[in-house]
Amino acid sequence: MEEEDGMNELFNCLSSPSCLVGQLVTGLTYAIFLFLIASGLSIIFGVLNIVNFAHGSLYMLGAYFAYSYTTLFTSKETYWLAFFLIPFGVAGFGAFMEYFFLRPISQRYPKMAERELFHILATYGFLLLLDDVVKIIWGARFFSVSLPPSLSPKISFMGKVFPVYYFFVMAVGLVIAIALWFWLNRTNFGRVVRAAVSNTEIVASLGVNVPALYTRVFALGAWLGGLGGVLALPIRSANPEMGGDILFESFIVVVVGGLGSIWGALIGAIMIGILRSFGILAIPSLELVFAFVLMAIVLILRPRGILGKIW
Amino acid sequence: MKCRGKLLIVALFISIVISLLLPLKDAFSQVEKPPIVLGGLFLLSGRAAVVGLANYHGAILAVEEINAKGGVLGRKFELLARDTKARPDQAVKEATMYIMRDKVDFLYGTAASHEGLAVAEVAEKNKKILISPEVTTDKFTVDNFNRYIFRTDHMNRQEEKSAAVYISRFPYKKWYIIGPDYEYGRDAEKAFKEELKRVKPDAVIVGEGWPKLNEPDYTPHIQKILEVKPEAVYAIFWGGDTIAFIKQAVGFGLFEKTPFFSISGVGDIRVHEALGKDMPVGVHGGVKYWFDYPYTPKNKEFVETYRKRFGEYPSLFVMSSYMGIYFLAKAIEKAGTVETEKVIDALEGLTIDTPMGLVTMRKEDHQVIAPHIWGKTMKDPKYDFLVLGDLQVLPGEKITPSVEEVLNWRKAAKK
Amino acid sequence: MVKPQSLLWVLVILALVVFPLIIKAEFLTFLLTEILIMGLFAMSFNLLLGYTGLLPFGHAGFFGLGAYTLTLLIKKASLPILLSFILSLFIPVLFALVIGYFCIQRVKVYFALLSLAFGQIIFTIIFKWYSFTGGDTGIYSVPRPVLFGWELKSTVAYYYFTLPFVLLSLLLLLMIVRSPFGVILRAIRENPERAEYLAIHVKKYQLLSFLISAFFAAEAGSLFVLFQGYSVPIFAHATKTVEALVMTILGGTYSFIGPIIGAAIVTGLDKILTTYTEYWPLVLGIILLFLALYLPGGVIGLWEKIKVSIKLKGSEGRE
Repeated sequence: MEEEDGMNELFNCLSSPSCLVGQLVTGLTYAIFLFLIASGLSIIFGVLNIVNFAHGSLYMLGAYFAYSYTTLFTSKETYWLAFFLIPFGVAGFGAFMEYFFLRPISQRYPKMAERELFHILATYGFLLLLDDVVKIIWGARFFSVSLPPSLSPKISFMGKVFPVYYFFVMAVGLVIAIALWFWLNRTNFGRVVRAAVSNTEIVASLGVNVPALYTRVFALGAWLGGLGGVLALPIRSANPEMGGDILFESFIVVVVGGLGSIWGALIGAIMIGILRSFGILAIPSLELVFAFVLMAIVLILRPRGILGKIW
Repeated sequence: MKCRGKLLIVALFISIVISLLLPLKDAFSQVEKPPIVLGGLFLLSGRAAVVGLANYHGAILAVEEINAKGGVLGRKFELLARDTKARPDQAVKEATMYIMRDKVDFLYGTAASHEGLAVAEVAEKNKKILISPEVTTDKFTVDNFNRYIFRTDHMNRQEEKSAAVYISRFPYKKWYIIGPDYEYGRDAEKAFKEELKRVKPDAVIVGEGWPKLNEPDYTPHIQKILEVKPEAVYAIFWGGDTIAFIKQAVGFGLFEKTPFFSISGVGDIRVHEALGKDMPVGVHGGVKYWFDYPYTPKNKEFVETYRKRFGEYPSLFVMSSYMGIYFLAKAIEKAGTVETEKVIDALEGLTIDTPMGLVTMRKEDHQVIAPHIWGKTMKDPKYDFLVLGDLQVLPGEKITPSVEEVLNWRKAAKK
Repeated sequence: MVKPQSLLWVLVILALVVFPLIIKAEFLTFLLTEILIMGLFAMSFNLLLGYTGLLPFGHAGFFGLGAYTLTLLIKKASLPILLSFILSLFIPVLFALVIGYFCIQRVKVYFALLSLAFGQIIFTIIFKWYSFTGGDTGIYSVPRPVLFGWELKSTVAYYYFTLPFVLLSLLLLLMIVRSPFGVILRAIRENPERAEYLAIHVKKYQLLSFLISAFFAAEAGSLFVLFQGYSVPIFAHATKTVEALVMTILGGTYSFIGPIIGAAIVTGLDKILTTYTEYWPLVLGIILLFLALYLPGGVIGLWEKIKVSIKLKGSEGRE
């Protein structure tokens, strides 16, 4: 009975422009958070071949760091400073993780299967560790901040009201996607990274310090995750479970979009974000199942995802 | 690098082991008579911490006050506390360990309705008393009732009856209900729907939203409400969920358009403090305790003592927990022993004096009979958060289902 | 000539059998029962990881399926407990047939992710299907088994119910692993392409291994429900799989009894450390990092290394 009403609601919404817009905006905003985390995950997997289970925790760190920053320093520009600085803090932590823990594992286990296994173990260890460290340092409660004053005014759009902040988030997502594409395809560093993915030995023999490259790429992934956390803080609040919550959905996005592809991550994120928004109308109980079913279908039929490279 | 790395890890490990063992030194301090050990189960992390910490602090205050007066039967209370993370299996694990490993005398706590039901089974299996200051699902004292569990909180039926009585004064007929998708949310909604129909037979539910408990992002649900345009919204959120929902909804202008009624969410002083200037004026909240009422010296003293001890005003979740410990203490005194069966007999029908007034533990369903309060948010120059004003107090007897009704429901549930 | 090792195992098994009669500590019996059950779960996991070279991230799905099949048959279909128990061992294998078939089509990371997806689907369906499975509340008050009219109420009684099942299952696993089938699995683990060249139908063996491990995982799930009396959706969640993973690696993934040793350490530490600290995940996280960096062979691996170095030192002395 609930399901019939749900399908009715869905059709009603699809035929009403204001409802459509409302759900699209919320879906796309959510998609951007997913994209930021998923793109980091995807890049780290694409280049270093590591499934980073701690990636959600890096997102969480971004949110907590931003919270501390905004409560310690209060001025009109606080949020913007946090926005620009905190991701680098998280990137630094990511570099630390890679240099002291993940790189030794890569060097210690020449067999790929073992390497993958122990990378997973190590990143999961970080997930457990960070979730508790956050509780110890900040306490187990959850924290929220208000929308930054410069971005809280409301915009009226097609009969619905939205804070500017939501559009800001979407704009940031778009800028990052373009920047990443540019970096990967038009800069020297990007070219070297792509070459290293194709053939590590040749690149190394050409004098490139591949391990240092890897650390930098991991830091970039962490930077993206941290940025996601900073952006999410005013809307979603910081709590110790936030890392785990978003991790599974990010996996789905990465698989659907294609491991290693940035545009794939964006497309996958948008798909999952919209699925969620409209799914809540149609069959509220099952929207989560659909996401995992989608992941399974993609893995069965086309494991490289929509835009992934052929592995 | 390899040697230094190993040394680092070993040092880290040793320091952690030491810091974990440090608390052990307290175990060797002097005790005269053995303490009465209470195994406390609280929601201590995440959004639920708003409730769990309040339960915990209320219990601590009561325990400290009682111990300062010499304890119960010459023995001090010792309150153990563990985080159940709002997961029933975690709660059951901790409860079982309390009974097996720590040999507690009584189980105290559980707040989330699903974990309460789970631990109730553990209590019955092991013949230990469980006093819950927070579980509100009707099932606790109706369908799943067993002799060993007691509740010093309202049941959903009482709260929803009080809501219906309050709402009957307003002309709103088309309602949207939204709440967390778990035991408590569903049970409360069922009770609300029935009670609403009783006072307003022409009321209609035009939509429902069921986000998961501790949902980070309510925006699709908020959009849905704005789309459906109900005459009023009834929200079953509590604690951190209320804070998150209101924060997100304010940005979309929900409260300017739609009257909002919140059970146990608005009216929680922690919610008011967290929202601060973001809290909308004129939203309705129903609570079992608001610190500024009743205007009795006993209540004033309680608020002051609590403020001095914890640096904040006591919320509704503090009072039920404070009360719970006192019920236990008085019952043990009356029984003259900590023996489970005798304490159960002592608890049944017990009336104690609390800062809220006189509260009775009903014999047939181990349920307290206590008043419920509804009000509206408004500014008050004395405080820098919004207060609950225009208070309507509904006495316990008016909102509590009769013993006959409860027994009938139990019979129906067994079929 | 009786090998000293075999004698050791006989002694250990005897000790397990008589333990609760000698040491009357209910808590320890409780702990040991849980270790046996989780050990079985970890062993089933290691059949895929250590012996076949596959990482099934959704393995807990079968633990959960076993648990819920048992619970639902008892509660909803009112079947007798022992019959429900037997059915709960085989019905999940039917699921494993379908799931396994799809999973083994993929290799390495994709196998792991597909297994994860299926596991989470099982979890989410159980979690959300409130009317059938009790949803996130879970199902409680599952009755204790009744053997010959005698209900197994006490912890000791239940220990003696679990012990034969677990020992028998371990014996079966041991036989499987030592058989030619087991040797082939290991060959597949080392190099699937080479195995394929040797005319071994790799996928068939992988699927069989998947089914066997699902069977034992479901058994562990059912035993756990009968032990603790409840069933919750998290039994099927990836975090449960990670428990098995940690136990396996901590104990030693390349040895037969590694996972059980790991189960003993993790379960013991969990129950004992949680008296002193809220931060068990932190300790576990550090243990994982330490394992990944310095102890890939786990405790058994370390033990083997120590044995070898003792032998070497011994032989050096004699020269």
